[in-house]
Amino acid sequence: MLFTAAIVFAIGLAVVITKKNLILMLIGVELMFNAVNINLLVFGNQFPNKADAQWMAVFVMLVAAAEVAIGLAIILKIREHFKSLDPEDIAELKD
Amino acid sequence: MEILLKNIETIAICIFAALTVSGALYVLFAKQIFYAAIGFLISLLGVAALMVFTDSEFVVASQIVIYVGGILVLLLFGIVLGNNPKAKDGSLEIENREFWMSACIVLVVSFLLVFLLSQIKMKEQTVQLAPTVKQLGLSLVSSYSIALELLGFLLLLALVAATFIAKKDD
Repeated sequence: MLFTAAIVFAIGLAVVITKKNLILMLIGVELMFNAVNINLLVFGNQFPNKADAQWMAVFVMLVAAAEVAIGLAIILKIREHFKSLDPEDIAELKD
Repeated sequence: MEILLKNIETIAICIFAALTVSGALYVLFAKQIFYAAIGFLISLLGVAALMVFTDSEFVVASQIVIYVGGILVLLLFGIVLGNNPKAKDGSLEIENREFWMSACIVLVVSFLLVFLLSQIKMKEQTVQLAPTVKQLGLSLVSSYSIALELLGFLLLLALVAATFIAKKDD
């Protein structure tokens, strides 16, 4: 189960690195969150109080939900303004 | 009987792990953003199924409600709202950039993680009852009350901020 989480984390990292689309990068971040959650639950079973890890996992999910809401709002605005979702096109500050 | 149950559990874990990994891989290789979201859905359900085996039914329920019911629907709305299907400009198409570099990074990261994880020595599982939902609720309002309040505040803030950012400016 831990190995699955490691592989999913690596795939999420790959999605964030490779994709040319902001929404997909967001999905990659969510995949990494999922992998971390699995690890949290598996390691939490080692402790006497299992409720700790479970609440921690739920809190991670809630923060992820808040992050996605804000992220999508920003992405919609970016698409309106730049007519593109490619992060390479949004490098105005760099130039 | 005990051994049979153990075997069935191992096989089920393997199946769900394969489901999770293949869904994530589909996200990586999908050519269209909508299909990538479907792959993400499969991966999320696989993760929920894996969480069942860690004695945390409450987390499984929240995973399905929050991720599948909330985040995925939000992402699909973002995909559908933001793309004009009549404009055949290929904005729904996606391509991978610098694929080989990232493949190398992924292989290195996953080998490193798997190696580190294989070094861990787990304690023997003590026979221990998983916390019931009642115990979880009691600990939520006793030891986690500050975290609960802060999270409620954070979610309210996210709600207001998302509405504010996404509104049409005049």
